[in-house]
Amino acid sequence: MILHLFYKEWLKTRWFLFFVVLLGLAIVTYIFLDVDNNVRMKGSFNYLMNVFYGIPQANYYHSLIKYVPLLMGVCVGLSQYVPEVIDKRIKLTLHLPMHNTVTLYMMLCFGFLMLLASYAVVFGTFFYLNNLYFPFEESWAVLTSLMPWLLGGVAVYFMIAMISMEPNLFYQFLYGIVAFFLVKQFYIGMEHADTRHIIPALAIMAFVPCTALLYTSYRFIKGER
Amino acid sequence: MTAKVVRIIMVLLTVYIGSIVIPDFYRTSFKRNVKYVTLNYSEVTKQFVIWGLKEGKLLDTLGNEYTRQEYERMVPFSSMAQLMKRGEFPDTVDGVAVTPQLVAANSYRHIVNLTERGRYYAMTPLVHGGTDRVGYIYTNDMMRVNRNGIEFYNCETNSVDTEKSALFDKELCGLGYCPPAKKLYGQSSTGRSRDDGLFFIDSKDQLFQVKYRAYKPVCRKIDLPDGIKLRRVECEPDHPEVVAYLFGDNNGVYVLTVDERILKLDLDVFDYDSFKTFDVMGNLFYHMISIQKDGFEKLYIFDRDYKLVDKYGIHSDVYEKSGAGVAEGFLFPFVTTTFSYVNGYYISTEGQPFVKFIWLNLVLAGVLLWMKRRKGLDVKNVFNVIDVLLVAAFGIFGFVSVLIYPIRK
Repeated sequence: MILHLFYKEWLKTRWFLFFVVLLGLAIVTYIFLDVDNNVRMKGSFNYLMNVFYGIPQANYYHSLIKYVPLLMGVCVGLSQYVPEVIDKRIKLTLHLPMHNTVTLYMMLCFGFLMLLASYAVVFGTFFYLNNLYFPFEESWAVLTSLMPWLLGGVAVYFMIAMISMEPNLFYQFLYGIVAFFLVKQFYIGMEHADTRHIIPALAIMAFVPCTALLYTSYRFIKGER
Repeated sequence: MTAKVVRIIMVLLTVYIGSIVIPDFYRTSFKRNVKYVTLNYSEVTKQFVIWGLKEGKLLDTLGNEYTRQEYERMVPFSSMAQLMKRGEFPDTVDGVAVTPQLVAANSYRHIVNLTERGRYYAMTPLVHGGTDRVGYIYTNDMMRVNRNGIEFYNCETNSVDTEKSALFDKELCGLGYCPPAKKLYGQSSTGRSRDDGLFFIDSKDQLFQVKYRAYKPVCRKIDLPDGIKLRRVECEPDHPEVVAYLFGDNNGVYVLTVDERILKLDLDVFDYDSFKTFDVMGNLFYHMISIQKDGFEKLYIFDRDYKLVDKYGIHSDVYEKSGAGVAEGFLFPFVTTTFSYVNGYYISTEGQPFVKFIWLNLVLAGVLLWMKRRKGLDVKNVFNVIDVLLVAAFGIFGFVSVLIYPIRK
């Protein structure tokens, strides 16, 4: 049953996932074409000096990828929940011979795994290429800057799942405001920051909303208006 | 039951988000510039001069008032350009003959931002001196001290220069270094008259200095005074006498000089965690160190040998004492701020005095209780009681959060 449920989710999300991953890979390709061009023009050492101590354009060579995790979270979340809730097909899902909580968490789990898979493809490629051009220390420093953005994508996915299941439009709007200010915290001017000390706090903020689906789905099941 | 527990979790998350967003809106609406006060020291009158206490006037610590022109004559070194423009630059200051060239050669300033949290790369270039080239040259590699010891990573070949690395490793092993390094410090670069190489603190909190001269490593272990562990090494590459400022875990600040002495600065109130700026200035007569945090500045005057001559601290107006700041204390039980200093980012949560906000919290808890009764909810139900307690504890944040997530009858 669970595999069938996963297949249903896959049918809904596959094209969105495909295009968002394609977009992510295109951005990664563009970033490293630029890096490659700079390395050829300036030499590896000089370009690395630019990245470490130089002008912001060199420091922030990876900044184009900043909102890709957010876009991935939005695409997976919207494609998975919005059509199903709007067309009321979610009611059929909730009548499957499984406990509702298990059903909903399997959906959430699928979306989260798809999000991780798309992260793995896009950011795996990013770090593979990054390690070809830069030493490990630079990649590690970039990863610490990227972590809040990756967590932001997770947070937005969980918040979309929660908001989609809410039956009342007014409360959807209120949760939308909470989601906006929550996700904003992951994207405050950090292109070049050492974020290691705040990653635990941001991780808690990203993963706490994964429970929220239970609250709004309960209201949905009970027929709140 | 599960849904109601989840609701409480979401309320708590919203309280936290609210503690960032609501005070931010409040401060954007009501926070206005407060009057800042800054200090300087007159080489002529040997008095501290205070900017900002009185509109358009300067005061010294004796209460005398000065105009801007008088002030500029009192601080001829920092006002040299203005005095020269008016043709008032003196031939002697305090009995010492001065020229603009002499003043310029002895003036320096170095501002250390104590809150900076920029990205740390754990590798940095080490320039090579004493070759057949003039000055210093880059060697196309970067130095790092990892678990394998000291390594020079060649950027062009993406590989470690084992020969050069072994040369430095052997030298440092003789000095008893224990890799990996906790942190590298230094600004080893070409184009300067002096290169101090790089510094690193090893895993046993020992400080080492590494330089590369005439194809040979020049390394030394720097014995730290008072048994301190270092929190930061701030290099001073442009000062003729100073190599670095060392910030110890005892809140002591030490000056590492070019003749390898370590001098402790007598900064009585300095605390690395609470102060935001460490501002070092100097001229022909004095070294001046200003330490600053919100609403407070203290200026220390040292002679050329870093002996304390005078010190003076002054408080500025702070937002917390302004009308909006006082009102904020009554409105919010705590405020979470997201800081984005020079490339850094951190979150800080600061509480308010309990006696201020508790009254609003209790009123809001009462309002919530009344609303719940009016809706016909069972106010003795454990989750309704928790709601009221959340509002009593978190005040306006709790009130807003509880209302965002409705509770079923």
